[in-house]
Amino acid sequence: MCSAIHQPAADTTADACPGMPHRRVLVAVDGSDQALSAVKLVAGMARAMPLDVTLLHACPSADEWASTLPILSPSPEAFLSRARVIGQELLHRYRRLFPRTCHVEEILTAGSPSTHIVRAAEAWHADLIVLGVHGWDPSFGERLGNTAAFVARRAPCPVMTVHSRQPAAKSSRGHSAWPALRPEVE
Amino acid sequence: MKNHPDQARKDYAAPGLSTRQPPERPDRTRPQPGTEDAGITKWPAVRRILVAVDGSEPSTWALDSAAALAARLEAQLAVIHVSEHPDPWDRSIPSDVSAEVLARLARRVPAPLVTMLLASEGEAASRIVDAAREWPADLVVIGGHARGRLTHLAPLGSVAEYVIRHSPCPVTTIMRPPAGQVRGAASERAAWPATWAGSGG
Repeated sequence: MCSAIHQPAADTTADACPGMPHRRVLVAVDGSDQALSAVKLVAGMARAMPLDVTLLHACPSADEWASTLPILSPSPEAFLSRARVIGQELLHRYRRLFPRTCHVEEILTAGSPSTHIVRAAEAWHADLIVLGVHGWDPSFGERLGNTAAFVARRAPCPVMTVHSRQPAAKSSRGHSAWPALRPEVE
Repeated sequence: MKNHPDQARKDYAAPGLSTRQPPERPDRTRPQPGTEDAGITKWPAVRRILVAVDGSEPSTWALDSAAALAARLEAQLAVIHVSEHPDPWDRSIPSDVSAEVLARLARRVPAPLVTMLLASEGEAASRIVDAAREWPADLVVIGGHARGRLTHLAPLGSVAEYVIRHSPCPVTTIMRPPAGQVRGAASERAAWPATWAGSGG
């Protein structure tokens, strides 16, 4: 139960604010519905304010292939090459959602997404990290995902977490870029 | 088998099938080839920002960050403070605690920016989510700070994690001071009624 105790006239023409607006935004994407929602949100912000945007996608590494993915592809080289192609296509597709006036960079890497996101944010001096949230733990049920929790704890800047409230989001937990590989290996 | 989004869009465009696909369903996220922005008429806009505050330093950073973003996006800014009951058996908390905290914090940001100050009592996390749902907010900004022995379960703090998981809109978690702001400089915590300072993060 909330009570509004003060409601002045809405006039948002303020100049002096103690905080810095977000100018350099790092968006971590993985092909999930949540990532798409995050990109759409930042693209909408880029239409209202000048932003420098970096899109980051982390492909699975050879170590991850060895531990979890041999069942999908017998050859690590073929799998990783395919993952890179899909990651590049993903970044290109998301990049086209931004207005032409927005400067957008792409980072395609391999390995742990959370580590790369934090390192990229530090190296690029990001003002804001935006990423989708799709965590689930068998012990605790739905909770903050490992990547989002790690990034929010270690990030050098504020972290914006975006849910996708679409029903399809419930089926896209985990590394959602991987299902895109399946049609070729099935 | 579930239809592919592209297929759904084709179905929607086909005559006679429009009643099966409501108008709000077509996917506007993919631009037409070669036209980029053309055809995309609706983007998620941040018009209403809800910032949750308590007496903590991260919540002050959250307020500063939200105010700067609201000024840049010309968005409405609402500030909410939730007074939690420190003793579940003692409900005699003065109702003006939230008002005092909010009034003190509201002075940090230019007055025209703040659209609404919300004072609430009860469980902070659910109150913040309820307020975000009822306003409705396009973005929630909250300070994150884990306390106690369960920080490995809720590294951002239990309130921030609850809000992230249940908020109907995106949530920005602030755990560091904004660029150019030194840790500790923004804190006025000692001057606040720490006993009743609710949770904003």
